[in-house]
Parts: sequence; structure tokens; C-alpha cells
Amino acid sequence: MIPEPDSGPGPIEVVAGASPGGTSGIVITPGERVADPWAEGHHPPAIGPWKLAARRLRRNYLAQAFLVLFLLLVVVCLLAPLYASDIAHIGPNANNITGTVNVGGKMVDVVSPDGVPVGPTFGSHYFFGADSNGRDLAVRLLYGGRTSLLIGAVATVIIIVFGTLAGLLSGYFRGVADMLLRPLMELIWSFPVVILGVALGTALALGGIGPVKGNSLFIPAVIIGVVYIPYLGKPIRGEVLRLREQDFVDAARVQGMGPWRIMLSEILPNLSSMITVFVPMMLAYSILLEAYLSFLGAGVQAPNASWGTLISDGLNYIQTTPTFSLIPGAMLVLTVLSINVVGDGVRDALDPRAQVRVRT
Amino acid sequence: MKRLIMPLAVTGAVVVALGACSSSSSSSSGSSPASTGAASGGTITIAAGTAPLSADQGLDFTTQGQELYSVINTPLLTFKRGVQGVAGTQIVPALAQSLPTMSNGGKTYTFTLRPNLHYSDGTAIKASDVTYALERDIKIPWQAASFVSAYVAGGTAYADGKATTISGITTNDATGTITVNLVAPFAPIVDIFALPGTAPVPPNTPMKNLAGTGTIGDGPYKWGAITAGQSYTLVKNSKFDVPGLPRGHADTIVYKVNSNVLADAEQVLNNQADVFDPGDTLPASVLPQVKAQATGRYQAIPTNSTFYFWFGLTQKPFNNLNARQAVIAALDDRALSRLDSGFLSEDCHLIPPGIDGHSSPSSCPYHDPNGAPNMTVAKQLMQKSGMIGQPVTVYGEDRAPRRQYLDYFTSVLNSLGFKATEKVINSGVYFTTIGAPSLKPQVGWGDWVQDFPNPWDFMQLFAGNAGSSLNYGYVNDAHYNSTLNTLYQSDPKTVANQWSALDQYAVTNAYYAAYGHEEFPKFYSDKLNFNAGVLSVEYQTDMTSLELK
Repeated sequence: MIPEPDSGPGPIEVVAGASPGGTSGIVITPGERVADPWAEGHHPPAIGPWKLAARRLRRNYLAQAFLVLFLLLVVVCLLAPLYASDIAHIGPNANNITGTVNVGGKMVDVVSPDGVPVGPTFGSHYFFGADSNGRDLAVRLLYGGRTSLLIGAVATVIIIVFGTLAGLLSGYFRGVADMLLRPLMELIWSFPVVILGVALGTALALGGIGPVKGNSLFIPAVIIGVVYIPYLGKPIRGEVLRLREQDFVDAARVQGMGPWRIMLSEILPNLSSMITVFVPMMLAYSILLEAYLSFLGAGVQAPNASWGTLISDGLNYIQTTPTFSLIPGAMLVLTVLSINVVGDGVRDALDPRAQVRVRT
Repeated sequence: MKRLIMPLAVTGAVVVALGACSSSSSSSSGSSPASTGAASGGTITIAAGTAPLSADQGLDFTTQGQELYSVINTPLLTFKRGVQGVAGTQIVPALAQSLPTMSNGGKTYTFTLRPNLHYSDGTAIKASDVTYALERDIKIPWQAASFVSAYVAGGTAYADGKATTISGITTNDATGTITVNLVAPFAPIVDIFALPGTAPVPPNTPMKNLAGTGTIGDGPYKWGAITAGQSYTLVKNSKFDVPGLPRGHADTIVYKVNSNVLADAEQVLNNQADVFDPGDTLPASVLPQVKAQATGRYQAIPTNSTFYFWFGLTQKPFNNLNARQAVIAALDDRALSRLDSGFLSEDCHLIPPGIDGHSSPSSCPYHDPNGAPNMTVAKQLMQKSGMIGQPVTVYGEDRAPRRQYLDYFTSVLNSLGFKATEKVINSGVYFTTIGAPSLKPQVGWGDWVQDFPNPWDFMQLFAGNAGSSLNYGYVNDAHYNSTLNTLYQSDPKTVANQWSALDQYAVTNAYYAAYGHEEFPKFYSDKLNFNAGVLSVEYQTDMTSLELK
């Protein structure tokens, strides 16, 4: 439950930074004099923080442009099977080492007898060229994008769910829960992310996790999720420690609410804007970490492709055909950039201290 | 990584056999690179993709290790130096005054040490040091320890801790005589005494793996600074003086390890390193550049090696003959050659062309290795096998082009209807992983580079000896085993046809899907005298032949 502002006692003139009764969600440029909305019986239409954030986001054209770009990348990657079956006519893992392809009216080897794969044809087959196994790089690029986005999304869900849970339990209960969860988060936090990810990825790629095989995409998603849980859990814990001392939480206790209900119905809603800001940030981090791990061979396992594996595979040809690495690299950069810009937009929109003039 | 790790560790089973034996070494023609004799001294850097498992020849039996130990640890015999190609497989005396005398129906070999031999620290070499080195090999253990423990009398008892010494070896330090008694005639024993792992070590050498320091050696070079896994420095041994063996030209040789083989190749191309380690594959992406810019310092040299996939015969689906045959019929050896930058000559047989008993690729039963795969036959065999839909885990290494072989092979299995997934293992532990008795893998990749020029060296890979760490598929065929045990007693030249028939028998029974024999790249910097350098089929780069211009 978000604390409601006190009702205004009468006509006054307010100056920015002194809105009556605490947080109203309306932010006024410092120094600006505005009419008291409660004066002379004039009550502005009620506006919630989410609606206000949406309004702010709608005015952030840069964030909107990058949101469109991100959605476009997602849609293109989701259409990978269609591209593979109807245009390229080859699956992402199908080897075609001794095949040929038409380039400028001439049939050439997909992979030459001394092992050099064909470069970009910019045609329906091998648009971005082939890898050493004669696989269509354009097809693998799209499938690799699906893999990267999927792992990023699953990892983000893991981070949000378990990070929030850990922060809530640790911050609200304190005591034993805090004694257990806080050091655990500190321990994970203290490891360099990539090194911890590589260590876990290498170990789990061999043995898997229980019934999940080592080459499952679930493995890197879980690893990334676990590694980043403290990055959300710790700030959530800090915020919960603050919120649990607030009057509205005391009031809820007085009314006889149990700790779980207080956490879910009183504290969690107050964390929603914080969590919302973390979602794009964690998604971007997760996609990047997946790329690092796959690049180092500890993420997505062969023959599956991700942008990280494609960059790594392309390095062998960096001097002769740099596009093999540059194109998946560019896709990765565009995706992460778009998520970050959208994320910044969301943060600005949700930030009650943002310096944005709002007309009511 | 292309490093052909060849942990020979044959295992086991003591072979009972009869008959005379003789040296298996073959002498054949080869070029003798010419040293200008002008340049001595200086430092030469070898850019290698993989490190040896250890600097201790008493543990390691990888090709990387052999390359290094061949100039650090000189055994009783050695393979002929200074000649390139198969001529380098001829066995000549090293610490021994001459080739051993054979007696007792091929069961006893007698060596005599040359006088006044010294280790690099000045200690005199004694005949009993050979016994100590072999005992150390068994205790550490050397990856090829079973060569000694299984065939030398008393070797098994020593390995099992039932004896304090190897009773089959007797020595006389005063006369320098070393007598080796075998449990049965075993022709390759002469080759084994030419392996650096059997070289003597001082008796105060610890009975443990000296991975970071190596042992005190007796070769033309001795160990300098070692950073295990990263760099190995060899410096000239001024005390080396064995008649007939080269002393080397460079003062210092640095064996620098960088798993990025492309970077290694570029360093040599740009004269930042001097030798591209021949055990690595020159990446296809840099090959055109090498051929164009490095004419006169690059050459592909045929070696005795075989690349293959093995099948796990004790479990589904490859306990089924039709399933195995289907896979072989569907394999495109030309594709695998392209993955190896074109360095493979396609063939379905295990015994390579440079070894007695090699069969022509034209006799391959399921498809022409130089032609397209026979998918029609493959799919019929799959239907017949009833193994469609069976899950398969395919094992392979993580380094190029081996991971690419794995990707290709997995895609072939999936095209036949198996549900194949890959298990990529780090190159450094691949063979020990798949050879672990607890694993029993279904199918995977393997390679073999000759240890010595004898078909037995290749065919023993599929010997059904209990506990073999090389027979990854657990092939155990009574006819195969008994034929192998009979043939190794004879000079391979005299029974070449029978070796060939055994290879053909195994191919027909689809015990392995061999797909080619590799050429190794001899690729030097501009600073080296290319014509003087030797790429030995035994030791890869013969470091004693390297000289600066």
C-alpha cells in the first residue's frame, strides 16, 4: 500500500520541495511557484504513480525509439524458424561442408577444400556467409539471438523472484534469516561475476544439474540468475529495512496483520518501482554475461548458437572475414543498448525526484 | 587442439605368445635436410597450442611431451636424427653401444652402455639407472607404463607392489650391461627402449611426478625455467657427448604455450615466434596467407597418424552392428578433411600409409572415403538396426578443429535419426575423462600418432584387454585379440598382409570410423634455416635441427 498524502488544511501556496503531506507523486521544478491544488475547493484529478510514469515515458522519445528497436530485434529473432525454413532452407545446426552455393551466378564451395568458409553472399542462402561447418551464419545469428534473449529473460525472472524474496526475508525478519541470507549474498557478491560464472558454467556443463543435462540452455540461465541475485537482493534488503520501520507498517501490525501479509500487501507494493527499474538493468546484464560465458565456452554449449558463441567462432576469421564476429557483436550491442536506454527511461519515469514538469 | 595426446598406456593384459621377434623399426627413404653449419647459438621460440601434461617424462606420454623430452632425455636407443619423414623411424643406438642382442627365442634383449656417459649435472650414468627409471615409470605412473609392466618379466609384480624391483631386468654397473627378459616375445620392445620415457635418471630422482622442474636429463638440452602449462625453456647441455647424435644449434629454445592457435600461426608468420608447433592444425583462415606470404618456410609433411570416431560397444545404440555401419556409411570424410584445413588424406583404415599393413582406401566397405557418403545405405541400415530415436551423447574436445569434428559427427547422427547431443571436454583432460572406467561413453572422437613404426601401435587401441584406458569403446573381439597377440611377435614386414586383414576385419565390423591420416605443417619464421629443420614423424620438431640463419 502506497502511503496516501495528508489532506490539505486550506489554501496555501507551495514551493517545490515542500509538497504537503509527503510524497504525492507530483514533482515540481525547484523554485517554481504553483497554485495550491487544494485551494478554494479545487481538487485536481487523481493521478497514480504508474499513470504518471507512463505519461513521463511517453514524452521520452529516445526511450521510445529504443523500445521499438528492441521489440524489432526480438521479433526478428522470434521469426528465425520461418527464415530458416522458407528463405535459407537450412537449420541452425545443419552442416553443409561439401555443399555449394550460388554467388553472383557462380557455384562456389560453402567450405573450400582447404577449409575456408564462404563469406557473405547477401542472397537468400548464406546471407552472412558460412562457418567452418558449412552452417548458415544468418540462420545461426537469429537462432543465437533467440537463445541469448531467452537466457537473459529466464535469468532475469530468477533474479527478480529470488532477489526480491531474499531481500524481503532478510530485511523484514532480520535475526536468523538475515544472518543466513546476508552473508550468502555477500559471498556471491564478493566473487567477480565473470569468474564465478565461468567456474560454475564449466563445472555444470559437464555434469548438469540433476535431471537437467549440461548442454541445456537452462544451465547458463540458472548460473546467471544465481550470480546476479545479490545485485537485487541487497538493495531490496536495505529498502525493506527502512520500510519496516514506517508508520504504515506499524499500523498494519496493530491491525493484526501477520508478517507474510505485511510483506506482500504493504512492503512489496512499495518496492515495485525499484524492482521495475531493476528489470531492464538485469536483463541487459544477463544478456551480456551470457555472451561472456558463451564466448569463453562456459555458457551455451555446442552445437547451439548464441551471440557469444558466434563472436567466439568468428574470431578465427577476424582478419579475412571480420563480419563473422562483428555482426553478432553488433546485434549484442544494439540489444543491450536498447534495453539500457529503455531502462533509463523507466527509471526516470518512476523516479519521484525526477525533474520533469507535469501538467495536471 | 590438435595436439595429439597419445597416452599410450596400453594396459594390460599380459600377452602370452610364442615365436621369434625382431626389431620392428623400418628403414625407408627420406630426405636429409641440409644444415648450413653456419649459425649456432641464439634463442628459438616455438609457438605451441598445448602444453605437455608434465615436464616429467616419467609421467607424460603426449606428443607435446615427446617433442620436448626427445632432446632432454636420451634413452638406450633412439630414432634416427636429422632425417625428415619415414626415414626418421629407423632405430639407432643412443646410450647403448649398439642395437641390442636378442636371445632366448626373442624373450631376452641385452644392451651395453657406452662408456663415460654423464647427466647434465655431471653425474655418471650407470646401467642400474635404467632399471630405476623403468621402476619410476611404473610407480608414478608413466602413461605408457604398461609397455614395461605388461611385457617385461616381473613388471606386473612390481606394479602390484609384490616385488621391490623389476626382476626381469638385470644390470651390471661395472660392465654397463643391461639384460631385459620379457614374459613373451614382443617385437615392439626395441621401439619402446627408444622412447624418452625409458631414459635413465639419477637414482636420487624422487619417485613422483616432477611436473614443474622435470628430471635431470642426459640429452643435448636440459631444462631451464619452467612455468608449467605456459612456457618451457631448454638450454644447451654442455656435458652431452653421445657419438652419432646431434648436439643442437640454438643455445636456448623456448616452448611457449598459447591455446589460440591462430595467434601462434600469426606470430610465426610475422616472425615474432620461430616455429609453429606441428602438432597443431594451421587454421584455415590463416592458411591462404601462409601459403602466399611464407613460401619457402612452409611445407605440409605426411606423418603416421589416424583420426577416428570410436563406438561404445557395450551399450545401446552402438552395440548394434547395423547402427555402427550406418554411421560409417553416412560419414563424409571429405567434409572432415575440410574441417582439418585440408590436411587429412581420407581413409577408413586405422593403419596409416607409412606403416606396414596399410590398406588402400579403395577397400573401404561402406562408402568411398574420397566420395560422397552413401546415405541410402545408411538409412536402410538404420531402419534395420531399430535404433532410430535412440539418445546418444557424443564426446569430443573443445579446441578447433576438434570441436568442429564433434559438431559435424553429431549432425550426421541426428540426420540418421539418433537424438544426439554433444559433450565437449577440455582438451587437457579429454582422454583421461573418456578413458575413466566409470564413464563408459557411447561414442566419441579420437586420434593417434605413431609412437613407433609398428602396426601394433595402432591396432592395440582396440585390443580387448580388460581395463584398457585407450579402448574407449570397450571393443572385445576374441578373433581380433588373438590375431593381434600373434602378429606382434613378428617383424611387421613379414606379416604386413595379416595386419592389413586385421584392420579390414575391424573396419568391416565397424569397431571404429576412421576418416583420415594427417599431414603436419612445417612452418618456420624467416629467421630460421628452413631446409636444415627436421619435422620428425617420431618427435615432431627435432629441436636439435633448428638453427638461426
